[in-house]
Amino acid sequence: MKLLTCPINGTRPLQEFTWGGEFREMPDPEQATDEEWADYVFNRSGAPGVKKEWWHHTASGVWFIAERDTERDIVLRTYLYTGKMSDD
Amino acid sequence: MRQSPIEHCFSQLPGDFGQVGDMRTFLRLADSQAESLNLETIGLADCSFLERTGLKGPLAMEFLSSLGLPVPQRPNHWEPLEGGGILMRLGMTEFFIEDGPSGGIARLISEKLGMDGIEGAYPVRRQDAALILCGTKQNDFLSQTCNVNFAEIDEKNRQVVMTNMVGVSVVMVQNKINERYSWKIWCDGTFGHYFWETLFGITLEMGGGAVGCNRLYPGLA
Amino acid sequence: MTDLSNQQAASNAALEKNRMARQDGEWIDRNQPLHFVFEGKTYSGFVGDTISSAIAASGNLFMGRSFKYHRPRGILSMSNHDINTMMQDDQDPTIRADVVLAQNGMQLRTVNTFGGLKSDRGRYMNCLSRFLPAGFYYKTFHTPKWLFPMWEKMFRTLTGLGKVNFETPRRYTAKRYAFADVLVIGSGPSGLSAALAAAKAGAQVVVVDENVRPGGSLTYDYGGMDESPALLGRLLSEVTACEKIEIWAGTLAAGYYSDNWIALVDDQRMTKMRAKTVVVASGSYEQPCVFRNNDLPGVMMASAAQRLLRRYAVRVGRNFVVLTSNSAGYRAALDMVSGGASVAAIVDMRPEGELSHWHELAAGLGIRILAGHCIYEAIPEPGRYGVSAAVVKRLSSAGEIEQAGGVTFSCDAILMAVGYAPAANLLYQAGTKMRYSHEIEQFVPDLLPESIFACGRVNGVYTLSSRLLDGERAGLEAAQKAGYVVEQKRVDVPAEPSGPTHPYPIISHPKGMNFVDFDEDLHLRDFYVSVQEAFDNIELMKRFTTVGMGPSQGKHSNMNAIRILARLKGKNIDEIGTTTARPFFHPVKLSHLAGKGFTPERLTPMHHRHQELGAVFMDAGNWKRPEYYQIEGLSRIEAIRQEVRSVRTNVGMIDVGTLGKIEIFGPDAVLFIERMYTGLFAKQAVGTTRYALGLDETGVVIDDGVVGRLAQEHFFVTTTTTGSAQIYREMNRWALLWKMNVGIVNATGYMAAMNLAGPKSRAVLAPHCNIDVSDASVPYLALRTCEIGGVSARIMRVGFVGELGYEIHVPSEKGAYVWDLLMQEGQKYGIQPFGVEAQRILRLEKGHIIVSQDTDGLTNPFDAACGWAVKMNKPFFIGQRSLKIAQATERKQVLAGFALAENYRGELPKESHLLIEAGDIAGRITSITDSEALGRVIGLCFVRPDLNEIGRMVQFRLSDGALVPAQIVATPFYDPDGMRQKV
Repeated sequence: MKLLTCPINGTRPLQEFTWGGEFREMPDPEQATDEEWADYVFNRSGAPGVKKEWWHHTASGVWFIAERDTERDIVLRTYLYTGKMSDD
Repeated sequence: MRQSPIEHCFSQLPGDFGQVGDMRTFLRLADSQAESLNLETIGLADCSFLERTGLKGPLAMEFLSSLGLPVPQRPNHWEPLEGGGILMRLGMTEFFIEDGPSGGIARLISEKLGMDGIEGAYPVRRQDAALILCGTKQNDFLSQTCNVNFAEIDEKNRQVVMTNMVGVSVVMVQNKINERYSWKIWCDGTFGHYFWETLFGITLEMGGGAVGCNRLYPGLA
Repeated sequence: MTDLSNQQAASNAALEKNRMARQDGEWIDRNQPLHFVFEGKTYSGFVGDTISSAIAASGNLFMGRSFKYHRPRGILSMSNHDINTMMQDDQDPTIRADVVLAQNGMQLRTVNTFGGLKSDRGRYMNCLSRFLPAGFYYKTFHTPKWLFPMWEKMFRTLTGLGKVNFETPRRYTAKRYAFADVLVIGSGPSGLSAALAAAKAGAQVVVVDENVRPGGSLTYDYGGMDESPALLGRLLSEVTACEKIEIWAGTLAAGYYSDNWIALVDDQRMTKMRAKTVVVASGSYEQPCVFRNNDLPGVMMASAAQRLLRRYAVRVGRNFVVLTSNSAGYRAALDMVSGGASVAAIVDMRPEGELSHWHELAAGLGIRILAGHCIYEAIPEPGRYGVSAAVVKRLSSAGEIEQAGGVTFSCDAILMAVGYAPAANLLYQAGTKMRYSHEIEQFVPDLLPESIFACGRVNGVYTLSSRLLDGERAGLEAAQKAGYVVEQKRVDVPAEPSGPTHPYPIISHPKGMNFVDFDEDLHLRDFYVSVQEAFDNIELMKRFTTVGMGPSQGKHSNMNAIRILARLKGKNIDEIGTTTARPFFHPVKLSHLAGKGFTPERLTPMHHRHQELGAVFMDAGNWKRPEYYQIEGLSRIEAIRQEVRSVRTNVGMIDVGTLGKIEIFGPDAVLFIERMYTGLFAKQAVGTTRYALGLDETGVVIDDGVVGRLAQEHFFVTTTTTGSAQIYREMNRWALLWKMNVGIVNATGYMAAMNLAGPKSRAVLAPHCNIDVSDASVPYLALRTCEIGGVSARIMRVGFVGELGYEIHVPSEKGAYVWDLLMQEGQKYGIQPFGVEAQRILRLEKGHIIVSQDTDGLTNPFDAACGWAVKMNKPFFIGQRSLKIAQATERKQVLAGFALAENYRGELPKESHLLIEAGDIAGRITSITDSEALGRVIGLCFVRPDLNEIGRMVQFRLSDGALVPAQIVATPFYDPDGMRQKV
């Protein structure tokens, strides 16, 4: 079973976590065309590569972001969401 | 009159109940020798009778400090309170307070916050099932029920562990209770029945069992 | 047993024909004799003996029959892949006699015979073998087709293994978690050396070994001298002195999973080990040589005979022929001589023979050594239950057998020492890339995963001194990777001069019976057939021949199969590749896997009250909820109807503590709720409640509930029972994303809740409530805080079931108290507790939807006829933008009420029965009930919009195809103006 590191609670087995889906930036609903909105709501890339995802530590309720390389099946890093859209 | 979430789990156990504060509590096993053995090997007690409360919010820490309470500076750590209670910091901005048998701090906080909370500090009315795990086989017991490496947790560090035990979310703290290192374990009271029955079954397999609260907090009633 | 007879038994056991005098380092306890029965005969042994070693001690090497041809078989490896000596007792159908310890009183049988070991009726299969090549059943028995079931039955019977006893008592095995800095798999010289190096660097080390004692090859490969036991003694005393090392003997590393999660299996249980780093020092499997009759009892791996000799003091023969291609064969010969046997010949397949001092030692004992020779065939003894001679022929340097000439050596045992295959199963599972080394004729790790290390034989290192160094290197690297500072500089491991493994230990013979796979009874010819039939890729060959698919999973057969295929295809071994090594490494008992399951269950604080009241519980998520309360003399339906009646005419109470309950505090609370739900809340007055409909981003209905405003910046929100955890989780995420200044508290567990409903509910509540509960003081949809029986409470005037009603929320610890109080008061008015089923009927009569019953994963609010609850003109709510698109498109279906004719007495349609219009599907039923209050059957259904007209006749199709007419009607069905709930 894989391990995941919660920024608050530390490294725990995957069964302590809930997956929250891919991290996506919501387009401005007022400005977006129907197609752009539908793309945001429905389309996800299944191609292997680095994914930015929401994860939730169930016992403590901590939400965080995990960057995962699905091609190599490793977690690159995890961090708390701070609000900056790109956090580098 | 409060009711322990797991009061019914004791209905078949030969022993004495007594009123502790405003809760009917299992005080002692009829067979005191067996109880001593449980206490030494692997014992489980219900200490839900202790008063507890919680709060969360961006100003929760300031509020607690303003009351002169020792506030843990690091997330997931705890500090002892007067009267045997503890103050736990769950994550960044949530706190969980449990009094000892003679406390009053939880009630004070509850009253100060009121039902609607104050600016930046909101009440969390905890109604947990509160268990105590004691005995020499604690590590073996935990290794069967919980996927956390407790060897890495030093009790002197006053760490709070939030994890999953037998499928239930729990808050755990290692603490000295009546001169014994024990684990205090809290879970949502609605899981309490399942939680107790499962853990109790494992203590039986390991040659231990239930312990009355009187052994951990002597002189309760 | 008395002392005297104990002594007698001990001396009996010691007198067994092939049991030798006490050996240094033996694993048996001569003070504890035991007896057991195998195939009707009583055998003696000692505690510590395996079943095979005790039987071998008696001089009997014939212990089983092969899978397909029922040929006599015996010991092969003594290392957990002797499938032909698998046995059974009444409980266990697959006892591996080579490694399972003998116990006093065991009653053992073979697994694959008909009428006993010797007179097995299946033995005639051997004579038919010419007609039974690999894959024969794919073609032979298919015509005529109708006969196939008969053949199938026959072959399933003939080829089965142990018999399962369905009366076996349930065994209960707990699992446990464990942690280590460094996990070392294998406790041979390299494993122990790795453990010591890692521990010296500071790491906590766990060493596991599947054998009951540590030491690996040091426990048996002596070469007639005492260097091995001396070294083992030194290593073990160092390990014992080291606090940081734990040795778990008798523990099998059964499988590798992600992030160094290793399943460790012992007698008692499975341990889920999580290690920071792993050192695989699992050694190698000695491989058989393929020659005619290499399966006779008495032909075995050299290491098997050495294990028997050193661990159990059992000598398997008096006169050996050793077939070899390495120094290990010479050491085995020396061991046999030191055990008092004679060695007729060492047959060395290498043209140059052995060049090390081992040759001198063997020659010095007068053993005849034939370099550049092979065993062409083994000659069975007259009964075919053992070996009587080895026919040895010259082998050219090109590997051709010279048919002319040859020598025949009389012998009663043949040892095979022609090389090894790495025990790399866990390395493969961990994702190691392996390459074939032509220098040592073995697959070795090429690219290891970051935290996995390999050393010793599995790493292609065979020289004993080098194995120690290789272990030290791996141990230091593992400790360093686990985070310990390693000061020592690199450890250099000298390259192996040559390997012990023969590149092609396969000798063809026109009469066959030269076995490659002893589990599946495959001889060389079967592989030729496979390639002829074009199954000439390793994965295809595996499936055609079933090589490696038996219980030993190819541990002794895969490598030779690869070599055969490579030669037949004229390819290199690397080009052939290997088959996939999946967990488990050895079979693991299902009882270990099943273990203890943990399925959490949630109970409300009033659960035991419901039990006392005769509740029949149902699952709702992980909650237990009363479906209905049993009443003596009433059927389920009658009881439910009575509960409904009681709410409509008097008063009833339902436990709704399972509803999600969320408190939202803070300056942004109202803005947050506006964004989470579709309705308008900005102007909601304190002390009121409003219906709340929650959507996902695609505009699909995912939850509904009530938003109550307790204070300007304090809301109390309820959600559905099953949605609560998800809604709370999602609320927290949105609050984070929107950076809102809110405090969100999950009150689901800490609030008990009950809905007191019915015309008399006010009368029940009033005497215990500290506030006036009249309609003027607490009107419909009001929210009040108050005390009930002294307990602080929140009451909401709700109308879900369509009567005057109060939803009461109190702290969980006082839930049962308040429930009791109201139930007691309610006695005066004929109160009845009601369950989920009655509530379903009551709400349906009101036309209220249940999210996820009357909606599905595609239903938006317009489809669900809940458009009234959606305020499209507010700035934002989750799902709004998608609804704008949905609003502009045509509805495919809408939710509508329907009723059957008042006099309808036929079979009741059910949920999901289809609405049929002109032969086409035009909708389906989502809820249906026979309503007593309305005197007819009513329900909700999805219907094509063009059919959604009040009064329109439609028809539903029953399971048997019959059509039932129904009419589209307006909802609510019952009390359409809601007068009953607003009193």
